[in-house]
Formats: sequence, structure tokens, C-alpha cells
Amino acid sequence: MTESRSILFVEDDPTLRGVISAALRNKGHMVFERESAEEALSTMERVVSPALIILDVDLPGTSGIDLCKCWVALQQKTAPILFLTASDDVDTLKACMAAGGDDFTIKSSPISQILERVGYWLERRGRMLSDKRRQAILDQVEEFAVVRAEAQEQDKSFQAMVAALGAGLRLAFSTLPDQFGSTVTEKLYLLGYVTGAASKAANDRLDLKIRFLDFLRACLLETQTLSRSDASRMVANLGQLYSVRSFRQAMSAGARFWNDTILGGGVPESLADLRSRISGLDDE
Amino acid sequence: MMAGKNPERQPLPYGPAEAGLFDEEIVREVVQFIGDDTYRRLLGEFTHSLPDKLETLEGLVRSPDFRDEAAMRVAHQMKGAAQALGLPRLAHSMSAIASHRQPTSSPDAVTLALAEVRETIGLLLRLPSQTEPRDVP
Repeated sequence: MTESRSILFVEDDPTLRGVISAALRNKGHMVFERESAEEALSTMERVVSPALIILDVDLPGTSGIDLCKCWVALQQKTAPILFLTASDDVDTLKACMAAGGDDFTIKSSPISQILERVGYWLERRGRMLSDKRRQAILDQVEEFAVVRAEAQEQDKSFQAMVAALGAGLRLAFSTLPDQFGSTVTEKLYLLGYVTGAASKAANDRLDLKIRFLDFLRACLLETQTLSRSDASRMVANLGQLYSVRSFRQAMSAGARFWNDTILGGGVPESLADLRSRISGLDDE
Repeated sequence: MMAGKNPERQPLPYGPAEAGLFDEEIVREVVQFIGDDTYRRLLGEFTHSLPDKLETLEGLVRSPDFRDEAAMRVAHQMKGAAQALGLPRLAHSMSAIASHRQPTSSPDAVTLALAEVRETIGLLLRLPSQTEPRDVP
């Protein structure tokens, strides 16, 4: 467990500040909350010598980045600075590190992740980044920007695929239950078919699969043909399949079943025809 | 040290009717770390601050300076707070407003997002759970 240490937390939004401060206090840390750069400057000069400073980038008036530069210039930066930023754009992250920051985390991250970063820095007992390490991180941020730009390019084709699949899925889920009765088995095989196709199109990229799962969940909920818990359970099961090596076989089996058993007799001539092919599934 | 001993069994601060406003996974995690009482207090304070913030935002949207930093700051701040409390619908609406600073943005989309925010605030303000804890199966 991380040893309790004092933390200076500079954030102007009372809700976000309240959530993170409460979590830190519940872990036994002493937290000094400040709303602006000016208050933080005054606090550092007069009151506390914190083990860590958590600093919002986008403060009103003097920004967090300018405050960090000020502390560095005055040789008053006596603790590591963990920047808290709403944006993950590369220029902002580079500015955080170039100003003399030691780390950054995104505000929308799960609170457990933010606490992990805080714990990491508290365990370093005030040891800040060396200039060499800071430069290495800056280089990594540059590299990350290039990789992300490439991924975003690939993402465009993925988004197009998802849009097409989504349209089909929405249609299927909004019509099938009315026609066939809402059996989970029918839906599972349909999901097997659709996600099998999605997996193939996503070229087995885990990040794209995860995004597809998110999309799928939203889609399922939007059609309102499943209860929230059913949708979550099905997506969770699919998520587990994604994380094991048998995923491809499982999805292939789903797709094969759909093709052989349901569509084996050719394209259904009508919904009634399709219904008769599916009607026996629940008895299995 | 966790604030809640058994987060799986913590009652949620809303009933089934309001479930669409909240991300259950986020709410449970936040409650696990800060405790149910603190969550409810922060949610209540945030909710009651929303009408004023919305009024400010609507004023900025109507002004010629809509695309300046001040308007975006309000939208970003509301988005960040909504995310922290597990309110994805509100966060999404605020994100739509904040992302419409580009010259190519559509005023209709901003108007629609503001209407969504108004509706969400109305639902949040009617939450009985801010004062009366309710258990959800």
C-alpha cells in the first residue's frame, strides 16, 4: 500500500476536484485543494511542501502549464507534477512535458487509473524525472502521434464497415423479434454471424474489436429488443471470446452455423420462410 | 482503503427509470473509491449547479463570441464533471457543443445538444435518490 503523503491538487472544477480529492483522502492521503494557479503559488510559498502536485492543464487565468514553467524558472518545483488534462492531443501532452511536468493523465480515465498514477509517483518519494528521461518521453509522444495518425487512417475503413454492419444489425434486431419471438438463441447466432464478419474485416486488431463491442452494446440497447442486463451479458461473453485464442473458431462456428443451418437452403424467400428455419433452435 | 466494503452490493443513487442517464460501471467504481454519501453529495451539488451553467452556456451560444475560449471552457468543464460522475448522456451532449467551435459547425447541432442538456437536467433534478437512497436489484 502507498504510504500516506501530502498532495497539492490544483483544479478549478469543483465536481472533478471533489471526486478525486475524496478518493485520495479515502486512501489516507492529505490533500490541499486549490482552484487557481495563483492560489497554488501562494500555497507552495507559505504552507506546504507536498510529495506530489496534481495540476490541471486548463486553469482559468494562468494555465497549469504556465504555472509549472514558473515553478521551474523560480527553482521552486520541489515535487513531481502530474498533469491532469481534458485533451489527449499530442501538442498538449508535449507542452506538459516540455514545461517540466513529470507525467500526465487524461481526466476521463477511470478513477482507478488516475489513483494508480498518483500511487506510482508517491512511491518514488518526491524523485522527479531526469532531463534525459523527460526527453525520452517527449520522443515517445511524438512517436505515439505518428502511430495514432496511421491508426486513424485505418479506422476510417473500419468505421465504414461498422456503419454498414450496424445498419444491418439494427434492422435485424428491430424486425426479427417481432417476427420470430425474441429468443436469445436466434440473437446469439445472428451475433455470431455479424461479429464473425466484423472480426475478419477488422483483421484481428484487438483495439478495433473492442471498439466494435462498444458499438455493438450501444446498438443492442438502442434497438431495445434486449434488456440492459441481457445486452451486457452477451457483450461480456463476446468480450471474453475476444480475449482467448478460440475466438476465431467460435465466431467462425457461429457464422458457419448461420450459413449452413439458416441460409443453407438458399436466401429465405420471406420472413415466414426464415422463421421456419429458426423455429427449432430453442429446442436444442 | 476503499470507501465501500462491498461495491457490488452498494445501492445505486438512481432507480430504473433514470438508469439511462448513468453509466453503472463508472458509478459503481466511483462509489467504491469515494463512498456512497460523498457521491450523492457531489451529484446533488453538480445537479443543482447545472441550470445556472446551462443559462451561461446558452448566453454564450447566442453571442457572437460563441466560438471563443470562454464558451468552450464552460462546455468542457461540464463535460469533465459529467464524466467524473458517470453521466455519459450529459457528457456526450456537452462534447457535441464543445466540438462545434469549428467554422464548419452546424448551429442546429448545437441547438439540439442544448435541448438534450435541458432534458437531462430536468431528469436529474427530479432524482429522488439524491435524498432518499434506493436499492436497485
